[in-house]
Amino acid sequence: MTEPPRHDMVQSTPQTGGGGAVLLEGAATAKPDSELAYESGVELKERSQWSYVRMRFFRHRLAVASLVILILFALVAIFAKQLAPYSFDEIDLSHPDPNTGLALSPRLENKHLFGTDQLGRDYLSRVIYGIRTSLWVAIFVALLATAIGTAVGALSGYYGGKVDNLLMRFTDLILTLPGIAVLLVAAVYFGSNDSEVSLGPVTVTVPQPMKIGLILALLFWVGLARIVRGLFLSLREKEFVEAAKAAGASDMRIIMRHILPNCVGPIVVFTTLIVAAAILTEAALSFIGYGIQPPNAALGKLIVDGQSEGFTLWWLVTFPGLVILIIALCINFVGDGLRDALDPTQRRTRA
Amino acid sequence: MLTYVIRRLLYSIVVLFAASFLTFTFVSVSGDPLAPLRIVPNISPETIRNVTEKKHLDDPIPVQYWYWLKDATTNQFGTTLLGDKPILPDLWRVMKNTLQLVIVAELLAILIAVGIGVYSALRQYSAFDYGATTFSFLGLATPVFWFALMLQVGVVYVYQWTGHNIFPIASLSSVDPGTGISFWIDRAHHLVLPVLVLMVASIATYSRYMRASMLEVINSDYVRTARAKGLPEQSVTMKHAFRNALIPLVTLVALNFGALLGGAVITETVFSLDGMGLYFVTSLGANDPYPIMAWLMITATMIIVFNLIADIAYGYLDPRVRYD
Amino acid sequence: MREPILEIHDLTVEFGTEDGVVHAVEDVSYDLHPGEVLGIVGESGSGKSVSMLSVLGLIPMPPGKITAGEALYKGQDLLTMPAKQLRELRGGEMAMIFQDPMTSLNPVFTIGDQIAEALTTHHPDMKDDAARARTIELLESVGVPFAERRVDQYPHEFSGGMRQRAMIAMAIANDPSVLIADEPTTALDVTIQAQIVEVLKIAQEQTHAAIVLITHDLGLIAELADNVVVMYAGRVVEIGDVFTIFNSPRHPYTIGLMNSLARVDLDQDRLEPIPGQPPSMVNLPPGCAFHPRCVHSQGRAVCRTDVPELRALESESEHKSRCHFAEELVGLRSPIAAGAEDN
Repeated sequence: MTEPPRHDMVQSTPQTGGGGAVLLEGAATAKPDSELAYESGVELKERSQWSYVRMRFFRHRLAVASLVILILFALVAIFAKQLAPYSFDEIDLSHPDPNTGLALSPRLENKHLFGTDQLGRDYLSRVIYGIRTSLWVAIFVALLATAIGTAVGALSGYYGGKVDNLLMRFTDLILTLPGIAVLLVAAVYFGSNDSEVSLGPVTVTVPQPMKIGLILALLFWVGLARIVRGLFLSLREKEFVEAAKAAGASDMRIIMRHILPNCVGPIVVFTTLIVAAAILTEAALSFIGYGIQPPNAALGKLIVDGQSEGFTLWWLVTFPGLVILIIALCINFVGDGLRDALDPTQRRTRA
Repeated sequence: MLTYVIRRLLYSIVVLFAASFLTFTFVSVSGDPLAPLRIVPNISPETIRNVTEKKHLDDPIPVQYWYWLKDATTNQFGTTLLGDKPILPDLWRVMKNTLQLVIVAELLAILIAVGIGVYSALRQYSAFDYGATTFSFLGLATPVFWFALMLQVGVVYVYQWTGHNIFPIASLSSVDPGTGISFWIDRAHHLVLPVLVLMVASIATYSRYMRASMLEVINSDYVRTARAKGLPEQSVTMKHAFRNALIPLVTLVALNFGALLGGAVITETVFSLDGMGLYFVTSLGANDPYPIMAWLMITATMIIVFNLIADIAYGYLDPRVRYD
Repeated sequence: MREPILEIHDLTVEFGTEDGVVHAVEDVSYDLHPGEVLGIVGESGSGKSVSMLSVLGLIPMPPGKITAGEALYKGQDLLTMPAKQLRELRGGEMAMIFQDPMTSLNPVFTIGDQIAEALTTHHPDMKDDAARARTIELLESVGVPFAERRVDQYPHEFSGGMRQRAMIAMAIANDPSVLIADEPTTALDVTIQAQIVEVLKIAQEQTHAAIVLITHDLGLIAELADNVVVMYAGRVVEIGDVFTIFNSPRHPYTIGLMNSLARVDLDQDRLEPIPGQPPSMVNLPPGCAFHPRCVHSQGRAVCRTDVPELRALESESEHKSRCHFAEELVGLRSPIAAGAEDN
């Protein structure tokens, strides 16, 4: 890509290494005239932008390791039924412990890796089912929040003016009250049981965890909307948007096809953060008692159930919490790695 | 600047009204505050009717809201539904307790986080830096309530092994704390664990931000100019870099205040502290809209005030953003 | 010939990056004489800025590393000097003007504060009001109107040209003997560029400093420089006085540069760019770094295998070129019509 030189400037050709650019490899054999020198045996290998992103991501060993761990957790969640040695509610009366009654501490020789709870239920299985619920609710929250947040942010940032004003005032409303409080109120009054929703002839049961997810999503979309709005505000002034308009593209097309793809990076990073936040928040809600209700499993609920005995039956509290911690940690590492991979112009500040 | 502040305040009042109305509607519609009353055996229908009438529970929502508004503004947020207990004194009491907890935790967190962040940035990629980053990640990934519980468990185990009760794990004060200095020492002793819990998440977030901000500033052109002028490295770091790096943090801290109150909810629940968080959860359980609303209004006002402070402070620190 | 005030010998600077070691500056030598304007020309990545920045100690030392060379200022080696001493020179006898005045000035301090800081750092006994008075004087001397008012304004309240004037004022505050201007006009509009060139001339008149002018703008070189250093891929490829470099360049790269300029005095159908791309600084071509793009190489093996020496061309010892076949390259530049300037 050579630009015609201005009369007062030396021709400046682009540096190698810009996004989606070209790598110079191999030795050259120059030939007598300028044409041949240009096409000379210099080998050019072109890589797409996405493979650059992948390459950079895999350089972060921590992020890759975390991704592997997360995939393992996802597999556990998906194949919970097959993997859990016992069912969620099965009571094992076989080995009562003299000190703790039915509750067994974790041992390798008996069949309870994580021990059992006060009623003799295998804790490993309960934790596995808890992982499954927490993960799918968190992903549901993230997807929903991302969808809403992106839509609102895009419209707000692109159209500006009154639309922007209105939407931003609305988000201000949501932000004026402390998050946990709003969540609790909503969870108590709205999210404590399954709902029946009739869409025309069909009645759909909305499971209670999904309602909790809905409530969480309605809180989390705001942060993403802000970010997307900011991105749209700056991108909308760029020349490629002007060019698209001049070519007759409709607003929707410009938004979807031109601007949005440029925002994918920050959006993806923020979405991973939402997943982590969702897991932590849902656990906190369940802990207070207003989160995911039984018979559905929830890691937070497991912890609060074990709390009363927590000082002697330490595993009841430790394992579910550790699981939450590890999942959230891995998500954060992956998010960090993604952020680095997607924006190499930022120095490796790494945090 | 003054017009800006006034405009913001007026706008905030509108937002407060809107938020309060929404919440009130939600709370009133979804729950039955008389539920505990109804299940009492032998309660006469007349009693129920009396209460219903007195508290306007049969009126349409906007009317109920109007009554609440009147009560809130003229009668110090009114009284509870069942029992007619005045709300404000209770609220005031719990607010003082929570503020003790939150302010101490926040101040300590800021001091520590700024130190960690700046030092990490100056010694990037050092062992300290990696350690601090690991700590940040851990701090952000740890569920607050779980961490609080683990601390309690830890203290209990220490007691079991050593016989020493190193930190109290519940309540704001012992049964008989005395007065004056011994009261405050006792209080401080009780607050150690809760403050620790609140601090962890804050330090994790703030130190990350401070580090990133400091790194960005350290590598900026104007810091290079300062060096090129021959300034001693310390001057470059503290006068030029640090001052600029602090600016985004100020906004963050102020805006984080809302999240703090939320975190306090969990911490107070675990440690059984008589604070705003616990008050809120209890009121929720009672389905009584008046205390809930009072709590929300006070909290929302505090958040608004802090947001305003954040913006003003930002304008003060960064001359590019002065409001005319 | 007067004694050089700054002598750089065999300077080599490398950077460790994620993609490998970047040889930003390799074997660079040139001299600066008192009162002279030395232009350093090259593309982005040629090492022109890095060589000066490393001499002043402004390159962060990880990831950067000076692996060889010396830089003698008035006989003392800046590269081995104790940090404190180097710091005293920086901003005092050796001052620098940077490319983008918007980002190079601290946004939270007033212009006056920042210039006064330059003064008091090097004159610790100067009192505040004396510093302020001198600051206003300096601003006036570089052509900032209403200096007494402007001195309390913030950088964002200045226009681009004003900011650069302020930077120049800051640099000449302590009467430097060496003034380094790193792309002083690149971030500015063309009309403002012309003004800044005038300011630089005034600055030189006032301080009699030697100026190192780092730029890729050949017009600027033509107007201000006495001597020129041409850099490519981290190496010096040609040195000479400005007329020789423009009229009879003797390195394929310089020739390519000169021939690629659009000319008002000639009838041109097409412009002649230099073919190819600048090399990857991590993966330099073997031998002469320019050979993949060199028309004059004609595929000769030595260009591919051996790095040429920077040799003086027979007749004039001051004109040097780093090309195996510099002798062949006579008369390849289209002659400049008398009186026309590349600006």
